[in-house]
Amino acid sequence: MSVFELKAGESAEIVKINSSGGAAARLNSLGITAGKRVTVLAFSLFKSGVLIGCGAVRVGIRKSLAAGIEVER
Amino acid sequence: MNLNAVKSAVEAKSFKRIVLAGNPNAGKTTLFNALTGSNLRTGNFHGVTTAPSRKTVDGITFVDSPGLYAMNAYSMEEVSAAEEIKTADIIINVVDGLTLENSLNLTKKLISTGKPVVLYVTKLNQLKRRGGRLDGEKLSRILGAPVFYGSAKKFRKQLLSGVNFNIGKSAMPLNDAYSAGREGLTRADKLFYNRFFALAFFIAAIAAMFFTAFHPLMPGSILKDLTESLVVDKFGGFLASKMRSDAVISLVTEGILSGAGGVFSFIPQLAILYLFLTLLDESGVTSALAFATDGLFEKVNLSGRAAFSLVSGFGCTAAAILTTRGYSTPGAQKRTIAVLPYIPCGAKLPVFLTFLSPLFENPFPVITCFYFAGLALSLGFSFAMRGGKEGMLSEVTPVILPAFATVGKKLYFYLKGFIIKVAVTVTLFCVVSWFLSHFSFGLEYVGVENSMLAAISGVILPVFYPMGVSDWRIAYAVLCGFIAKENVAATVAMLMPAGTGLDLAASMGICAFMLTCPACVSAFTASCKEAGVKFTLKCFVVQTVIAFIIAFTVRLLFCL
Repeated sequence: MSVFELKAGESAEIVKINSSGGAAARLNSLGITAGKRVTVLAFSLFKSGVLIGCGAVRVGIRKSLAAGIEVER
Repeated sequence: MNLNAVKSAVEAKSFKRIVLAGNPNAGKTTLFNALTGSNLRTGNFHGVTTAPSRKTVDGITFVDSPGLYAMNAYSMEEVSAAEEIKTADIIINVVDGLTLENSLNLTKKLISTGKPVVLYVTKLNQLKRRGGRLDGEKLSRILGAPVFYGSAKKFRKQLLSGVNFNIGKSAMPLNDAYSAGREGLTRADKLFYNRFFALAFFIAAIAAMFFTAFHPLMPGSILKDLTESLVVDKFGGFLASKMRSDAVISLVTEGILSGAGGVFSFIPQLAILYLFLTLLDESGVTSALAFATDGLFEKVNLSGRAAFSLVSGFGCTAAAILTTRGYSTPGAQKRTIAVLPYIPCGAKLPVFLTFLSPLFENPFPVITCFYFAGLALSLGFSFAMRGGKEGMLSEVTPVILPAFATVGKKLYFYLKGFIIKVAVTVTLFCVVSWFLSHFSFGLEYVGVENSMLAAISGVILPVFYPMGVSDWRIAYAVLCGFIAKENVAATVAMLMPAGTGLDLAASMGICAFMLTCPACVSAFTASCKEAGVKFTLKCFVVQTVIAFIIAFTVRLLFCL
């Protein structure tokens, strides 16, 4: 399942990130990589994106990009 | 890192260029301001600084760079930061104490450039409050680089007296030197990250801002009247009693005091406006808002980042245009620049008040309507325009109670800037306007009606007829707004001391025009720099035409 399918407050471990180019590099430098545990903190208006917490870092990610972050509960 | 080379470089004091680098919102500009005595714009938001700044103090050039995560860039501003780092003799890596663990990714990359790196860790008060801790000495040994924190003044002294880069590296887990404390959401975070609460709070905050500034029984209005009577009536009367020549009295009281001095009287209301904007910014609420409202901006092909640009636009359009450099899509950046003039900037506030105050006992509701109409227009036009879609991939900062000193300082420098602008630019402008409006082409001292300004302005007057404006003085005032919006209120106050004499329909028409017309020269220049001259000119022409159409329509609606 993707991180976007989690409910607010749920945590899961990243297993794979299907993304390339600049966005993938940015996720990587934010510490959002396979093996890390992430928590869904909130959703934006019209559920256009999701706010995920990874350690102390909090990142807002658009739905299309979040759909490529595969997680396992 | 070649330790010997570094050590000798520092001992010989051959370093001339110190570059501040680090992740976005680490506090680089705050440190830069403290190190160099500058007043560059700061804020609790990722990507406030969008271009490098330099300042030389005591022979050493300090460079403030936009935040970056890695040396390979994702957004446009990161490229310039990476370029600056290449030119550094010493890098000060500013590290956010709250997200230190992740920030060290960049630190390691900076160290591996081979240049001497000094760490400066920020936000340790916040870290302590959430139960975390930092042992600077241990961190320094883990990284093999000197680590500083605390007072910026002390840091500056240590830096200039020579830093020991020769630190023996020792292997130990990061946990020995740093613990992040509670990383979960606080109660405030939970509230402001909630999309419905964030939007409701923003609307309520803007409404409260206007209420405090414009309601006749609130401090904004009361202080404004007080300032006005002090500057224009009391001080003007006093000066007039001391002078003989009619022309000089007229220049000083009408030209300078009523004109430029009249604009001074808006300072209390501008202070309230700016206090609210600063609080939103410094508390991290703008950052939370940018995330929460992303869905709204996605519908108009922008991202939540635009919330930050638009909120900045309430202060100054030119400054807001510079915030768009953090966008990753040039199309979205251009679109935002094109719609930013519809957000009324701080200088448009006196204009609305000048035209609407005489007609409404309580101008608060109608002015609020104009502001929200501007917001709606900017979103509407962004929806209608084509161009690339902006994605969202951005950090969000924790929500905090802003420090009193930070807010006070920002407010102080903003008002100081405004006062200087009015005292210099607007006053100079008023003197020129006064001269043009009191002398004929034959350089005789005449009444306003026979002045050369009346003759010149009469030429452009016809385009304002459909707005219900038949007085050349208003046409001239509006035209002056393109130089600086402050000039509009100043010109009206100077040339029409008895008031504009416009009826409701014409006043609404002219305010609609002022809301939708292109911004001032500084915004035009900023737009040329960011989006190109051709694009800026195109926007200018289209916006002027649209402004006339909207103003005519509004006047017609109120005539019905």
